Amino acid sequence: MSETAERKAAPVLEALALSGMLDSATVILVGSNARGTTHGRSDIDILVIHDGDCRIRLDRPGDIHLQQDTRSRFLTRLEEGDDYPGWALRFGIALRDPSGWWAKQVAAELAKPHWPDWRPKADHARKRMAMSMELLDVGDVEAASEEMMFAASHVARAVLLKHGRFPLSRTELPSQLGGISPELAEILYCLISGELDSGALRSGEALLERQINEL
Amino acid sequence: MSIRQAVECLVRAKKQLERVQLAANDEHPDPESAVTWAFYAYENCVIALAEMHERNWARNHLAKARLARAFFAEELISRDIGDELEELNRLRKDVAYDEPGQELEERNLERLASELEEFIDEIELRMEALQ
Repeated sequence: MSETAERKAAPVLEALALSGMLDSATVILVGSNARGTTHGRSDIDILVIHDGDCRIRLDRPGDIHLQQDTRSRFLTRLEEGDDYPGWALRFGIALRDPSGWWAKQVAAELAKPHWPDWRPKADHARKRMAMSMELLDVGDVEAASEEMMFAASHVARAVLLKHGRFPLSRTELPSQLGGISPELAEILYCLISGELDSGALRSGEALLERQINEL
Repeated sequence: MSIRQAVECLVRAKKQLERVQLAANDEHPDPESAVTWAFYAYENCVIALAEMHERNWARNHLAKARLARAFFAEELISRDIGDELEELNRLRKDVAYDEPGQELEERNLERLASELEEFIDEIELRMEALQ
């Protein structure tokens, strides 16, 4: 484990140690930190997989975004076509794998990869688009922009999966989309870089809706 | 920075509170909407306080949580919402990624709405006193 990764995960490792779970939990660095593609608003995404039904709690998570799963639920999600476990197995960095369980799953995924289902992404995107438009209606452009970024990310992942490309981290999605949908790539890039004004957000919503309908 | 901008933020927070109250409805609770609207409402409250007191603020969620703690430490507000902002930020991101966790189910939505309402009321009173 690199020193940087260890430092970023320190609060999670401390919480696991305090709960007596350090020798049983699998800890994986995921997201842009695992890919080395962070930007100003990037979280430190950490996945903790427990061998039983337990959880830890971070009092002040700060910029750590912690996801927790049991081994069985993680594998069920993978089988059901959720892209998150597939992403973690392909690109995640193991910070703790005391029993070697994670290494076995990575090897199994490499031997027989699962391809995630793009369809749920369209539903998630529509929910975020609706939230974005409602936020715009109450005059909160900053929040509306952030929700639209989530929506555009979901649409981008759906488009890429449909075209047989595995989506990388959010900041890498615009370049992945380049040859498939330049318009979507551009709006996602703008949303990641900073907020859009209300007119651009409404145009963005129409573009995302079009993209979903074309899938 | 101005009182006018502070008022605008507070008006937005009140509209967002209405959405929290709707989502916290006993008969048809919608925790995903409730935590998302509450998060943005609290952020607008922090910006309103910053504008009222001519303080710089940044478009960064953690910076707003830190600012909220500072306002409490300086007795500009009676409740420290720093931890609440961080918690709501986490919950609403889980929602945005469509990975709502167990904590969302355990959240008391009625209390979420009433605490937010009290917070907005206090800012409004302090704003009136300043004006």
